[in-house]
Amino acid sequence: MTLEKSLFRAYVPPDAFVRRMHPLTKIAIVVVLNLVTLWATDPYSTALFLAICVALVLLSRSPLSAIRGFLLTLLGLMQLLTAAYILLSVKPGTVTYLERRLVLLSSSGGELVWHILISDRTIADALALDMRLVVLILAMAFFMVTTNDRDIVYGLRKLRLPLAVSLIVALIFRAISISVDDFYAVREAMRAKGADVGTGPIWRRVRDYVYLMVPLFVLVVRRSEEVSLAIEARGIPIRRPGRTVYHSLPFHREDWLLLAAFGALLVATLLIPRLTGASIGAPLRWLVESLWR
Amino acid sequence: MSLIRVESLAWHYEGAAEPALRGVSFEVERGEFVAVMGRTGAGKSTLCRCLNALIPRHSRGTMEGRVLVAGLDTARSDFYEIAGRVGMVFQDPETQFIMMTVEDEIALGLENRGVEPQAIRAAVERALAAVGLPQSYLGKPPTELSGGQKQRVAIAAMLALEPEILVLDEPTSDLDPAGKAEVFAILERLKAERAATVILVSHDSEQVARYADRVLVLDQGRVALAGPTAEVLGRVRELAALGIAAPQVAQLGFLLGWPRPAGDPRAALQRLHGARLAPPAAPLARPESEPAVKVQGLEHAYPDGTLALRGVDLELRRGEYVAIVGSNGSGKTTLAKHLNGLLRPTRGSVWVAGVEAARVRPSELARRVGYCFQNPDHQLFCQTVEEELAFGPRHLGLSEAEVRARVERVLETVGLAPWRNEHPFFLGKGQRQRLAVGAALTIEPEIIIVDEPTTGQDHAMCEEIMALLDRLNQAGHTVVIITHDMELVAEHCRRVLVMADGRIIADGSPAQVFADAEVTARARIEPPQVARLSLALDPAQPPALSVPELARRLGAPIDEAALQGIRLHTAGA
Repeated sequence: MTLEKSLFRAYVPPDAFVRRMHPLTKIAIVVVLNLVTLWATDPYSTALFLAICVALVLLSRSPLSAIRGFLLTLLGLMQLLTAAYILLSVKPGTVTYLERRLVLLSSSGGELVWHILISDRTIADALALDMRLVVLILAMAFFMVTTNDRDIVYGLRKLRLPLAVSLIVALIFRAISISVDDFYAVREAMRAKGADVGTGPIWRRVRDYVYLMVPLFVLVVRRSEEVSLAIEARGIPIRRPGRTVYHSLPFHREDWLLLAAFGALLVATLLIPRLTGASIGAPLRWLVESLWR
Repeated sequence: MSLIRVESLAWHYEGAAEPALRGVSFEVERGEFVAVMGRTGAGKSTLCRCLNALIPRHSRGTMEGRVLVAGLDTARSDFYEIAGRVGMVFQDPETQFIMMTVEDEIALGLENRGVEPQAIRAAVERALAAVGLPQSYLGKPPTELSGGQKQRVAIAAMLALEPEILVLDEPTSDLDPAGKAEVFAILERLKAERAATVILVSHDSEQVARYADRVLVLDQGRVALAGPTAEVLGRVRELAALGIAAPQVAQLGFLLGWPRPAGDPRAALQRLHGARLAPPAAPLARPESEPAVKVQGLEHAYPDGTLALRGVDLELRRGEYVAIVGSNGSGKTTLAKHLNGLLRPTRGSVWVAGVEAARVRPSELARRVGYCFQNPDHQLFCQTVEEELAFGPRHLGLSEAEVRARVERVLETVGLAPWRNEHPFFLGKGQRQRLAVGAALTIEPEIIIVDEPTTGQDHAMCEEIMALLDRLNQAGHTVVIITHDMELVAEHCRRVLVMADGRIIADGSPAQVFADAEVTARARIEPPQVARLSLALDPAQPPALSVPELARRLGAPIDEAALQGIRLHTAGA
């Protein structure tokens, strides 16, 4: 049986431009999108970043099946976040849809009151928060479905970090794939002994998962010993001068252009509010308002 | 000067009760192929690690004597200098890979040596060609290759560094017959084309007889036997006392009283030329009991679309002793996992003791079908041996008194009573395997399925485990084993199901299956040496399944004293 064992796996076609992109460029794009989304919180700026994310995902030609998992996670998180924000924040707006005061606890010392206020502003802010979440998750989805674990290890080695860093990252990726196999095998073994793992009362589920951790831990210990022996046996020292890097992973013109563009986006997001008092989404706001009128 | 010179080598792991090596001395000339044999714990792997300086570098302990490789004292020289001269391949191919593609894996050691990228490319291609893999494999993830291919990549990664000595520590014990054949073909090629110096640790005396120039047998850390291969493997009685099974033809020679029995099947055939082969005793009939398992039109497709079973029909009767054989990916384990409900049919049906497996939960089926996985470490969850044995019955809701009674019975059956309070983590592999079988037994299932019960174990441990399964079968349990070991099938099972491409392509007694050249070729299984020898002597007769059987059919009077000479001695559990 083929299990999905790699944490990172490039699903995009080999000729898609994102496959030629340097992994460090992609990491930089994700970092910039995260920073600007955290910095500029108004709905128009967020909408601009969302448009950039959607464009990246579309240009990467990532199949929907590959990002489906991210989208499903997103949907769940959005529902939770929207409900929590609407029910827990108190922000008066121009229109109030619902206002209630629920006394949760009343004693001689005072009352614990839950003030529910649903206004047009609560809803607008909740949607803006959702949009920011979409940007963060789509940026990560773009990176994870267009980059494989090999690219990441190359990228780290390109940075000329100590061999230990790239070796540890490579081993973590390998350990994940092996541990996934082990997890399924151990769970099957428990089921074969009459334990319906993941069913029944919560205490039994917890107990079963504690049992499950025992062989996983034992296997990790045994394998760590074997892997470290295998690395040593091949005479791979962690510190050694004069190492070469087999794969030249050059920065292409597109990498420099994208780095420049996203660098400019970051600078603009940080500086425009200071210089003009408006956010980077101001032109979009002006456009929307013009069309609305 | 010898390429390897080991002088009075002793090694005592820190905290161990006994030394792992005690006064080992030997020499290896350039271009020699030396096999190291011995039961589990004899010191074989420790010796290998001393050869490439992993000991004392990687382990704590006390060392005496010395190891010289090309004149360099391994304990006092630069470790990386020694590691560059002595390449090592381990048993489990999974744990040897670091990088994500075959190309990167082979290149890693070269990068580390500062080889220029253009030269690395050429070296990677040469190494891959040396192990007979096409260039199209360069971009493949090593983890997605078959077992044999993985070991070939591990060997290629080592060859790329052009070591003077290759040390292979049981490189084939986790592989199916096809994988073993691949690895041995590479070793044969390296020996013929490169005059490579090879140190091979193996339990497979038949392959040792075929490839090795000399054999070194270790026992309790000492060299017990050493010499040219034919001479050592001909000392059948001494090998058996050391827990090593000589090649079957050598055992046959011993029973027939040949003055110098050897492991060469061609020599044995020449010696037996013209001998008359008597017909075998009537085989045991299949039990006339009711069906324990009924499988009809079973198909199974995994979520990725792989069609692992393509229409399997099968009936197992109560009390049968059945082997399921075939190469990796043929569908053996997929079929077995349907019998205890771990997998659900995509099409068709499976009935176990009159109950349709798909209609009950696996935990319900666990009462009827015990399943032992290949790796004992996947199925031991508890803090003590006793708790482990009690795990299944407790999950089935049995009373504590009943659980205790079953645990006591099974502790005796699997011979683990002295270790009842030991943590399973600290047991030896053979003991862990017996504990895994025992943990299935406490459920008292009608059917017990054991997946690869003997993989990676020495012959003496294999015999212990098989003796346990024999006793269970005699007590009325239906026993199903999945295995690549044809000697085990021949000597223990009464029925063989041969699988290929998700179908049962043959179903019969071991003798019927081994006599069918088309089936054995298609399923890539190699009948035991005695079966091949008897078929070569008289193709019209059913093949012999064991050494004593062939000796008897050749007219030799075999008494208990003679049989004692080939019976393996265990070193205690």
